[in-house]
Amino acid sequence: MGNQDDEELVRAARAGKTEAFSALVERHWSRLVALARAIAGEGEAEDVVQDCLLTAWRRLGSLREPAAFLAWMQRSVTRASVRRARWRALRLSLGSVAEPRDPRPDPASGSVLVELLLARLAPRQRAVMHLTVVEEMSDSEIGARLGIGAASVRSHRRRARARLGPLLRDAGRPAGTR
Amino acid sequence: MADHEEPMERLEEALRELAARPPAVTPAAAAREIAARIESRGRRTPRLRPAWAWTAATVLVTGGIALLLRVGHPPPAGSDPVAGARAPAGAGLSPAGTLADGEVLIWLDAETPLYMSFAPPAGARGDGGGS
Repeated sequence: MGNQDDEELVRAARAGKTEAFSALVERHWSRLVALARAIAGEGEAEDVVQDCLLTAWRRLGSLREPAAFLAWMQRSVTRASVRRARWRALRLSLGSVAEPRDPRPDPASGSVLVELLLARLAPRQRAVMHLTVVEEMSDSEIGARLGIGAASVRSHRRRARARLGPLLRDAGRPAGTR
Repeated sequence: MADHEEPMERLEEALRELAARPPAVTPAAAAREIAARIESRGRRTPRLRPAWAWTAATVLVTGGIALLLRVGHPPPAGSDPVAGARAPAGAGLSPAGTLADGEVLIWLDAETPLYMSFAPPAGARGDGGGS
């Protein structure tokens, strides 16, 4: 199974072979979890991806291009992660979950705690940052994953950078100078 | 410019490091777990599994719309204060607000009344049904 490409595995999975679907899961799991982690946070990521994969198994028949399995999953995970992050923010506003801590440099390493900085962005902005920086996608590819236009992608990225700029400068300064 | 670019580059590097961090559940374990869940659900779970949820949502939305139609747009002054109110039996269908038995008035907005008239089937009443 390991040598087969996504298209062959999807076709086999459609025929009911769970081992083919398992091979797809094994191949893409880490990448999809990284995407969900950047958007929904560490605590939710694996749960979101697992839900999306189970849904994907049921809906494999609706995937028009079997070779595009990864893109299909990225779209599903991106949107599910955004929904999960928004739901978490709602629960946060109602006081049922803990608020993220302030972004400060890690005293041990001096490095910026990127997860805390990401938590200051809107879910879609986090998605855009991850897909831009990590997946190195074009604006139109990112737009397709998020279901928005390329202009909106650029707007989200601009706002994310504007939001992060001061936080990054703050986080880089010694504690007494802030 | 360099002041601005350098922290952003560090952030981008940190984003890549975050993405490279291995997940708590290994890919092989995740694949086994998902395969087990697929098998336990009988492989092909019907796609309309949450039908009850759609039904409940449909009922709620329909009820909400009906409620909005009834109370969201009160009828103009001088007409029936409550949409659907019945007028005394024998009164004719009239925009003035008097409704005959079996007639219902719903205000779609402040200026748009919707009259409905209900009558038993022709065979049951013997006089030819309703309007």
